[in-house]
Amino acid sequence: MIGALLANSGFWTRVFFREKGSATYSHGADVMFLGLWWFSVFCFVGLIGTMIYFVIKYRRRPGRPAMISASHNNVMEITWTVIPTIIVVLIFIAGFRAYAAQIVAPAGTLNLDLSAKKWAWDITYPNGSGATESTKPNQMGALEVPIYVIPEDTPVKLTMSSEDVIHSFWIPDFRFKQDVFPNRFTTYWFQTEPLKETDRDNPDLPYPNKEHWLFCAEYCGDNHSEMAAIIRIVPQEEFTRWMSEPFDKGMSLVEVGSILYKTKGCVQCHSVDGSDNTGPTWKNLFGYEVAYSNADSWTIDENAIREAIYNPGVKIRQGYKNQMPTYQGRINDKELRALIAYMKSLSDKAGEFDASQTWGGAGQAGG
Amino acid sequence: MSSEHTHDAHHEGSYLTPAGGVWATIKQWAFTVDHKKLGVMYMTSVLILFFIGGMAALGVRLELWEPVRVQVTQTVNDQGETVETRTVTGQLFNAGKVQPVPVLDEQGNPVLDDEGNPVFRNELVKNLNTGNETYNRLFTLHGAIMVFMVIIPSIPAALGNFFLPIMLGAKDVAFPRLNLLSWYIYVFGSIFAIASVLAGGVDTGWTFYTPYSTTTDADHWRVVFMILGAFILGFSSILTGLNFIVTVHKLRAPGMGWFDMPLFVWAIYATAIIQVLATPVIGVTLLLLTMERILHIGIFDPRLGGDPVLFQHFFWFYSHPVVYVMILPGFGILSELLTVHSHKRIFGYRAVAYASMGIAAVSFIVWGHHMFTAEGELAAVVFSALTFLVAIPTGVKMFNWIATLYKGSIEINTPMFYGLAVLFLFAIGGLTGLPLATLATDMHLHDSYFVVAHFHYTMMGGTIIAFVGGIFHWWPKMFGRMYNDRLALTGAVLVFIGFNVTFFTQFFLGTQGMPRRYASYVDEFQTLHQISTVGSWILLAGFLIEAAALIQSLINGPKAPPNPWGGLTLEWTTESPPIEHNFHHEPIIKHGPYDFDCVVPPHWDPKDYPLEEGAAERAAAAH
Repeated sequence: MIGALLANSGFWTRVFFREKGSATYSHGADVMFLGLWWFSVFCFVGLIGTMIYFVIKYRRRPGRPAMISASHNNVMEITWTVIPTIIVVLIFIAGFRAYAAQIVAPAGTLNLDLSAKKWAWDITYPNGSGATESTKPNQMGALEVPIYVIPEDTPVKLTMSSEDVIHSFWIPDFRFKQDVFPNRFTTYWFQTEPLKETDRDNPDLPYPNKEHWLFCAEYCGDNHSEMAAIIRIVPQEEFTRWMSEPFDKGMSLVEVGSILYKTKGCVQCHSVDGSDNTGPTWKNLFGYEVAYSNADSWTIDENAIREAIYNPGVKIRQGYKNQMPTYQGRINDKELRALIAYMKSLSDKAGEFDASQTWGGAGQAGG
Repeated sequence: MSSEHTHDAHHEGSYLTPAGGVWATIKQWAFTVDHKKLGVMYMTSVLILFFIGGMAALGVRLELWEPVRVQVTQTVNDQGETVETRTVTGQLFNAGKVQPVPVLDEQGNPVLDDEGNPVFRNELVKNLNTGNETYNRLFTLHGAIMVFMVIIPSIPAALGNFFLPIMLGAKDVAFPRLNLLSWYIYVFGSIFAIASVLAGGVDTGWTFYTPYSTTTDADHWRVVFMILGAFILGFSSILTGLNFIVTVHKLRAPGMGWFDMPLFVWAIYATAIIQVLATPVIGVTLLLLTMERILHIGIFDPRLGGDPVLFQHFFWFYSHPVVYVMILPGFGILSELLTVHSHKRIFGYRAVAYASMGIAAVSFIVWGHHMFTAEGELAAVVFSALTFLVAIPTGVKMFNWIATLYKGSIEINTPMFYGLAVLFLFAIGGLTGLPLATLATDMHLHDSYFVVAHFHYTMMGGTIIAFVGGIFHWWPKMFGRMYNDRLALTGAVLVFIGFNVTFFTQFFLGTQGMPRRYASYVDEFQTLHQISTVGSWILLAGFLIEAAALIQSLINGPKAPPNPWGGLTLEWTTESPPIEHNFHHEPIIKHGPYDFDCVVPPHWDPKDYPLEEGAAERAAAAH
């Protein structure tokens, strides 16, 4: 019974990892970990078991001295130096082989760009699109996180860089992480296992899907623990369809702006309900006069927003730090218009504006 | 000793004898060059800082009892508008932040001054971010205090200062005035660090990674103060190390060869070498970091063409060897605890001594394993291979300690329990180092709670537990009073249980995907976090009992005999507490430090310590 339990690697996988790793290379790492776990259990029981046995057997008894035994034994000492040396060399070699599988991407990957900043991940797809969906998962609570769609069973390579400090891209279900730097590109590749018909992490979707947490593993400041995203694995057909379709489907500019607000990471620092955060709220911002710590006060208009997004360091709002990275090159003109429309919809001083104006789709997926 | 303290050797009081009068006593301690007084002063300050750092850790664990959640509730007001309100739950500590907030009139519009600019007033704002920031300051405080002000000076500066000269048969360290200077530098550095905390604290983490550390709180001096504090503390370390190296080389008693030194001395010697060689590197690094912050010289900040990974290399080139500055003295204490309380010769004395030196040497070439996810692949492979080298001498020490117990006469008292606990905890700490040194598994475990658990098992389970064990081992010698062993043992058992409950759970948190330095977490981690937090309370209870046992001993503990445990090293030949000059006469070494099988311990009756037959012949053969 106990033997069966010990031999049940599925059980131990659940204990340590909750579930089996989802990338093709995760299996190698998991086997390696469980192998080291059993080796460690063996060593620990051997060492500490012997210690406890000696402590009981040779406990102090009145009138009985410590017995004389050898003060050293060369054969024994050489043995217990050489055997561990051989073992660690073997562990190193096994670890190196599994590592090679983790870092060497095959040819013909789907290439995505990833940009990290305090405190959001931003993946750009080959068609220029970003995340089109976000969610406020109950088990995270604190905020909206973007959902990134990834095709099953396809090699994917991310080319990553950071706009401010060092972050680390970690998908625990894949068992791999890579730091993301402000001064160089790093890469992260993976290929997930094919989806099973039973994979339904999100039951609302009509096709099988699996969702994975993406965390930041390198400390990056206040909202380090909220710097998360969801990686959703979808069938290949679904991914192809998603890539070829403009995401707005006739939505109004305001609606598109509200999606960009969540997927471009604005939500991490700016509230839309008037509450305070790292950056000023967007509620009743447009059309209001605001004060800057390094410039004269100004009434927020389209150009003020444009400047704040593309050159955020030029004017610093009173009471806030110069912390926002530039979005030059990451938010295009159309997207900027959508964000401005969204800000207008949040303000009671926006003046005349057509809340139902449509986006038109160009510049986004398929456009 | 300096010439102004001339006493008649035969009428000397203990080093604790007050000078007469409160002011004179304060002066006597404040300007002392006596290594024993300095050791006690270090011990007191280290224990106070351990308490502060421990409270910060309890705060961290308490904050993690519940994940932080923002709940948005929608209500409809009298005008029929939907109003959203946000409530943050699960944040226990939120110091908030003073920020200028626009003044609003009754209609909710900003109030304008004569020139038409909005009017601001400073208000304490509390939100999700300020709560997270409070948490980040708390764990930085814990890490910085524990590493720079507790673990590094704990054993070498406190117990090493007190016992290294006595174990060598010397009157004092080689440079007593330098020793006093080291203490003042330590205090000065700590004041800088504490000033930074009082000014609001820093949120960089104790590792000060750039570019975060060069940009956070850019308008404040707190980060610079903390960095300068660590910089200054480094000098204290270097001077103490230098002092110990010279003391070991020049002040050994007549007849004491290198291999007659107690293993504690060997460990402190190996530590001192690392301190002297590695600490200047962190000094330079921290200075560069300060210059980067103040003068923007562009060495680490990528916006100025610097390289943040360069900082990590510089930092770990010091901070990895310093891991062994922390653990080697713990190993030294362990060798003493296991031999003295089992009355047993250490197994493989030379192997244990060489292993200390081997670990010290290897410690300089493995820093890159802190950067497996940051450095290039080739560097990762090389550093992984080198890291496994550390496992070998560490394993050798482990085997030797356990073999030492064989056929001993093992007494389970408080110090011995701590010794055995270190073996137990360090076995776990060492073995969990394997998946961290292995590249394929480290890619998952790096910067997760697995690492947090691993280094607490080694740093706390190894060093702090050994330090506490050393305090109980040498307490009767230092203060001349025994403690209630049953009470202290109860505390020790609680510490052991609490430690494992707190940190063993964290291995599972790590493998399941919990990153370190998170103020909040996803739901599925809550149970394990709560178990860990309960463990921290057991740990607290254990340490409070230990503190009570020691305080009770100081107040009304029975007088300690010179050699309560039957040790053979020189500190047990002198009085408890030792006299001002340590020994009445310069000791001459006639036996090895662990010759328990052929020598009756000093101040012991041969009736209480019968030797096995053939002991006399063995003694004669040995010398």
